[in-house]
Amino acid sequence: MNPRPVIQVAGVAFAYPGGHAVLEDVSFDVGAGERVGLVGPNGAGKSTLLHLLVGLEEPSAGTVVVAGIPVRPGRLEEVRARMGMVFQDPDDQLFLPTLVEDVAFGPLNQGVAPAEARRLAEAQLELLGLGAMAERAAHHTSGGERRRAALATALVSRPELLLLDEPTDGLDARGRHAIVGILRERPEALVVATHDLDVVRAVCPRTLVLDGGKLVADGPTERILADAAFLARHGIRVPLD
Amino acid sequence: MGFHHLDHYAGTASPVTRTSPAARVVGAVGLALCASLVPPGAWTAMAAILALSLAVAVAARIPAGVLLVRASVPLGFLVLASAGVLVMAPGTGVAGLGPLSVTDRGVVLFASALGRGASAVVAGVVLVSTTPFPELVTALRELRLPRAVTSSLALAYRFLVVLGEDVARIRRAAQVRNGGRGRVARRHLAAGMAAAAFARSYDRSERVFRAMRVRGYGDAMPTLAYQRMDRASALRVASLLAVGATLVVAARVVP
Repeated sequence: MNPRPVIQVAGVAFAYPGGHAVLEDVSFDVGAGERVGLVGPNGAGKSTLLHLLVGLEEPSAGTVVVAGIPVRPGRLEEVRARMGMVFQDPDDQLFLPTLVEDVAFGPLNQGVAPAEARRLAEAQLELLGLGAMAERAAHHTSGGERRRAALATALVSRPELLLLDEPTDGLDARGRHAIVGILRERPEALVVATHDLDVVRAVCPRTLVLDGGKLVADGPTERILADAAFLARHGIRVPLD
Repeated sequence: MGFHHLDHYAGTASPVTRTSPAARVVGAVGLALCASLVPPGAWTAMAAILALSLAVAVAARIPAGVLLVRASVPLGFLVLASAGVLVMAPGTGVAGLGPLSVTDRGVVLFASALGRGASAVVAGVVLVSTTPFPELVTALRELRLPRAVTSSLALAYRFLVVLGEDVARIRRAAQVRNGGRGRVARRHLAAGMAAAAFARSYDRSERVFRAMRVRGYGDAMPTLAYQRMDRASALRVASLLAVGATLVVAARVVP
C-alpha cells in the first residue's frame, strides 16, 4: 500500500453492453509521483483501464478513486482537473488552428483567463522545445513534435497524475529518446500504457501486467522484465538488450 | 482541409478584421437584410447595396478571383432556385422557352432575386473568409444565439474537418493503387470512399470528443483571442448599415 495514493483501484471490472468482459477484478494503488508501466498484449484492457481512470467509461463493478475523489458522474470535472491524459493518436488531441490554442484549451475550460491561458501554453510549449512552433498548425509538424505538443496539452494544467497511452507509438529513435527524457523528469505520478518495454524500463520503476483483463503481475520493472518465460506466456515481447 | 481552409483572410490586417466578430456577423446579416428589402426592379438601390458589399470585400483584401470562386457556388444554387419565376410570374411574354413563355415580370423578379442574392452572398463570403469558425461561434453566442445551437455548430464544423481528412487519406490510398480510373470505377470508388469515410470518421470523432472531454470540455468551445464588440466596431457596422438602410428607404419611397 502506498502512503498517499493518487490512484486507488479496487475490484474493478468492466464489460461492454454485449457482455464481453474486458477487465475482471483489477486492484492496485499508485502513489504520488510514482511512475508505473502498464503492459500487456493487444486486447488486454490497457486502454480501457486508462479510460476508467479518467471517467470515460464506468466500471461495472468496483471503485476507482483519483486524488482522493471517486471517479463517477458528478465528480468528473474535479477528477479531470487533477489529471492529464495523452491519447495514442496525437491527432485526436490536436484539433485547433495552432499548437498554442490546443495547449490552452484545457486551462480555458477550467476558467483561466485567455491572456493567462496563452502565457501558460506558451511556457509549456517552450519547456518541451516547441516554443518556436506555438503558432504552427499541428499538421505542419513532425510526428515527434506532435507527440510533444499532445504531452504539452496534458501537462499545462499541472496535473497530479499523467496517463499516457502508447506515448512512443510510431516515433523514430530520436523521438522516443525525447519523450523518455521528458517523462523521466516529470514530478507527477505517471501511468504509461505501452507495448514498448524499453520505454517502461527507462521510465517506470514499477510495472503492472494485464492479460485477458486480469492483473497478472504488479512489481518492480526489472524483476518482471527479467522473466522472459513469464512475458512470453502472456504474449509480451521480450525487450532487446 | 483545416480550420484555415475558409478563413484564409482572418490573419490579414484590414478594417474588417479590426472589427469584432460579432459586429461582422451583424454587418453581414444586416447587409443581406437590406438587400432583401429592396423592392423588385429598384436597380439603382440594388446596385448600390451590391457595391457596398463589394467595398467591404475590397476592404477585407479578398482578391476578386477568390471572391468570385467562393460566391459562385451559392450563386449557382440561387440561379437554379429562382429560374422558375421566369416562366411562372404572370406578365407579357418576351421570349419562348420551348412550350413555356418567359414573361417581362418574370425577368424583373429573376434579376431582382439575383441582385439581392449577390449582395447577401458577397457579405457572407466576406464574413466566413475573415472570421475563424471558433470566433464565429463565439460571436453568435455573444449575440445571444442559444448555446445548444452554437455548440452543435462548433462540433459539426470540427467533425466536417475530420471527415475531409479521412476522405483525403482514403483517396490517396486508392490513388497509389491506381484506383478510380474510368468513369464507372470512379463512381464505385466514390461510393466506397463515402462508406469508409463515414465509418472511420465516426470512430475518430468519438476519440476526438473523448480527448476534449478529458480536458474539461463542457458545451462551450473556448477561444484564446476573442475580440469582443467594442465601440469602434459597433460604429463601423452602424455606419455601414445606415447607408444600406437609407438606400432601402430611398428605393421604397422614391418610385
